[in-house]
Amino acid sequence: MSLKNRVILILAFVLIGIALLRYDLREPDQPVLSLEVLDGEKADSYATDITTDRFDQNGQLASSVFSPRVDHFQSKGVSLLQMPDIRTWSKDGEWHTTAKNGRYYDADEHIELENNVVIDRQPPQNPITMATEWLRIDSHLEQASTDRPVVITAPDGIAEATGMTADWASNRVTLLSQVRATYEKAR
Amino acid sequence: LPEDREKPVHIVSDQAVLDDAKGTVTYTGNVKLTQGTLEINADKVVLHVVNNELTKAFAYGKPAHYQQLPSPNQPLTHAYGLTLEYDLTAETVTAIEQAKLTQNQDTFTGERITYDITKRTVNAFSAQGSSGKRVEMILQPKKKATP
Repeated sequence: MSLKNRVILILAFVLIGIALLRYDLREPDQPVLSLEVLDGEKADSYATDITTDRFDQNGQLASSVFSPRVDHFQSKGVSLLQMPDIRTWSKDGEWHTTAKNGRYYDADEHIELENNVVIDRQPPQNPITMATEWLRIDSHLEQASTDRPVVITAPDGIAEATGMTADWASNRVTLLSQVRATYEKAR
Repeated sequence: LPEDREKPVHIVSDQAVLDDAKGTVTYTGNVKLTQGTLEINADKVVLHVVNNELTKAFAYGKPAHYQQLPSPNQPLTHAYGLTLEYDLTAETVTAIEQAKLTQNQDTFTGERITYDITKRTVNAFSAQGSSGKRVEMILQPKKKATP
């Protein structure tokens, strides 16, 4: 093997060694996470452990959205949220909503939640829990709505319906169709 | 039946609104409320919930209709009115406006009729003033037991 080839081979080994060394020394808590894909398009950026707070015109905290992972798609103006945890406050108290997945739309600032969506109306309001598979939240309107089946449980009973709107400003929940409810006496 | 009051209350309707501020739940559209043999059919029913317990149901219809089996071997008792107030605590049903109640073969009409579910007693009231609907009772003679 000529001297020239021998030198090239040695250089190659040295470079490979350096590359392996750098890879090995990479920050252990820096997981290499792949970007989410939406309609065949990869996200532009992602962030972890994100909290987004929104304040009303009086400077009061109106809603707080937390997600352990958010992927943002610049051209679509959409962010995909994993395990979103949303707290909204009205004059009467707090509503706490969680889900497996969420999608935030920059244009009109609404969030769509999907899979195991659970909404809890917290005391001092009469506590109720609403469960559905899909929900749209318009925080600036203080409203949530779904056209899917929803189950509502309360201390005095349970109700099922198809379609629901919740309005935290007026503290009213409207069940849109096929309503079935059962009330039990406290034992 | 006496045990009806221990049974859960079931309601089906087209729509409903839970109003936390007022402590009411309003059911509208083909509303049917059942509790054991008790049944109310109405266009709209407003439930009042106090301390997580259902206390009253106001039914509105043209007319709203109540029926219940007073005891296993008796015919259904029926009540009709533009408004029916079912008081779950006092265990009374009050028919208001175009009120009518049938118990066995007897019929009562008036402006307002209150039926005590436990005692199975009927109190009928006419409207205020002379022009109001007077109370009317049609009591069927009881057949004599054949010797």
